[in-house]
Amino acid sequence: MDDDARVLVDNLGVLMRGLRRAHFPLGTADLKDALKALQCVNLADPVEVEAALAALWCRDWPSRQVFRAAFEQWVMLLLRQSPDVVGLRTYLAEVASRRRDASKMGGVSWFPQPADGELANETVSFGVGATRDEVWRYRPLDRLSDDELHQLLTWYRPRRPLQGWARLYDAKPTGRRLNLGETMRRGREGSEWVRMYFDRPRLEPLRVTLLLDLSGSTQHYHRPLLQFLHAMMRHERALEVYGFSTRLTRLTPALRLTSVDRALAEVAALAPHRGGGTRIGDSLKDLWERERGRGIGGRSTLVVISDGFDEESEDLDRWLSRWAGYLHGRVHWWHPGPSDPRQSRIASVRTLAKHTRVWRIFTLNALGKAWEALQQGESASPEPFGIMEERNEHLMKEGQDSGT
Amino acid sequence: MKNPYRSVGELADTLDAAGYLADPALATAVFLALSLERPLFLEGQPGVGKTALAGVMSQLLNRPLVRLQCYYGIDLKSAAYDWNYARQMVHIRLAETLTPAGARPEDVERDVYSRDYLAPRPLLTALTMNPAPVLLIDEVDRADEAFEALLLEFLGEFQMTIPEVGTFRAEEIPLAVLTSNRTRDVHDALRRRCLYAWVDFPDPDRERAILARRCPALGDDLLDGVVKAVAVLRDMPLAKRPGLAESLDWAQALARLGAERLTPELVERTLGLIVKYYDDLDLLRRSDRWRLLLERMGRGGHG
Repeated sequence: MDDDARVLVDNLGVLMRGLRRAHFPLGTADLKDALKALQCVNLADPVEVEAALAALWCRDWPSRQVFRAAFEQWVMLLLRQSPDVVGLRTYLAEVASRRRDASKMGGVSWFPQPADGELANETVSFGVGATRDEVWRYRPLDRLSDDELHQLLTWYRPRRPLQGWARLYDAKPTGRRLNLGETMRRGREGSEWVRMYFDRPRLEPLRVTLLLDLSGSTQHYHRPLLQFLHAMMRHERALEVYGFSTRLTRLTPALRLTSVDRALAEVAALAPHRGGGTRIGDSLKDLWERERGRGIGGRSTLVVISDGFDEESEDLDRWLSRWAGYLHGRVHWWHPGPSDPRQSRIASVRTLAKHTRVWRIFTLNALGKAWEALQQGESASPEPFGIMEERNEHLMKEGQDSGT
Repeated sequence: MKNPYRSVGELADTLDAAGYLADPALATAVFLALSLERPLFLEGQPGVGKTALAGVMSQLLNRPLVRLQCYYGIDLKSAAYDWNYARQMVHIRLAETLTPAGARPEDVERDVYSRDYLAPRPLLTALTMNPAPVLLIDEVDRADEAFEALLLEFLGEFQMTIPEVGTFRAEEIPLAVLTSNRTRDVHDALRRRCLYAWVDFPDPDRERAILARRCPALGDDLLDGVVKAVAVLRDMPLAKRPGLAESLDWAQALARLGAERLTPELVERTLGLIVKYYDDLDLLRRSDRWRLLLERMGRGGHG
């Protein structure tokens, strides 16, 4: 290898290290491919070099954006007369920050929860003779202790992951339609007895996308719900989680971390701006424009976990009806808070109730039922949430009042 | 397949001459796909020219185009190969009647699972065809994950193993072009075997050049109007933003109607060519920005 080639390899190595920090899965084979590709293009033309390396090293649209920024910084670094160690480290740090805003890296904030004293003063009545497990399952989500939340890690494990029927078929010894080809193919070995094979529909993992409200009004539910979703993430095979308050953030990579503490810290770093107003309509719009086809597809089920307070109910109506149409009605709304008749006056709550299947997930038991209902689809009957009934009662009462 | 082009610029010029205006990143990716003999994975919004690129490359390279249209449920039998069962049955019956007594049944079995009884589908056709074709695997995101796994051996090694016969290897590597509209995420294993290129909506200047090339009958005023209206539509939160294919259809329809410039009435009458959802039409009717554009059109400007 001559000196020029060595310099090229060294420089490419710097770019590669920077990209690795930005979570690009690049290995030695990728470096070899890049060297081969650079032999084919004009090295004096940065546009061509950038396009060649991007074609090899980028795997999707977001990574293409990160690559473009990293490449520009890399070129700036190369243009310096003597790239020093400090410059190199600065470059690597800047590339890493492209993936995640540096301001979010500093302070990892834990989720607000009631102080121990407050919790101790709460009086919660349970039936005499309830087991510890029952107590845990029926305690309101926002009053679960750390120990109880910790049990979530093992809670769901014995159950089967959510599944749905695919439109694909497998050849099985039982079924409806005879698969002549498979019968012949498998029957060519063995005795003169031929086993018949039939087409039988295949089961596939159910795709579920959850939109978790991280706004101020649901702050007491953030931690239990995130821990629940972390447990589910290890159990399910096609689960996507997004958080939203002021903007939509994909939380799936953070929740995939094995350690629950690390996962929650990562979520806190990814979505630091909690406590703002709820923007369900905007989030549904972002989900449609940005993530459709990536985190959610036509066969997915969408679950919005929120208390339903949104100022822009007109926008919400439009995007909810669009999602409901796209997903053939597979849109659920899980309400974590207690039932309150006054909610029925809120336009956004009425809009959500109109387009979705509503479930109350005030306890872990209710949360588990809502989860099971995702698989049962239309056949599941939602736990009576009462928004529509409450609204009707309220309207009737108003009518009676005005009548008297 | 040997790369007949000496540089990215030469390929871009050739594409340009064939009526396909590619941006530098796309031209580089195609050039590298030919040079490194790697599959090309094109991702982007519908109607931006991903499928058209495969067609143009087939013309330029003077190779046949083998197309595999993916759909949910596509499997080995539809994509790679199947056995010709009817022919196998005929062979067995003939063997029963014509084979002299004492012939071994194993030989008959071996015969019916030989290359003669294979019914090749697009993937196997692309491997065995000589000279190698341009293989278009269209809308790979519509297929399921099992089919992606099936493609891994093909795209990685350009070979296919059929248990009864053996391994088929391509004598000449075909130019494989995969397209995806991102209706779902394609697995990383498949992506890493391919060169990746994102095909975006063209910028207004390039779009104008493409429209002028494809519809030479259009006047400057009409071209400007179409490009600006389409740019506004792409900037709005529509369920389906108009792609280049839609703007081409629209321009051709306007040319057929004999229009000289865009007017609000003409736009209203032909809007179905670029907006394909009722929700989007409803949104446009309520949008101030769209209303302003139409008003400016009515006054003689284009907004």
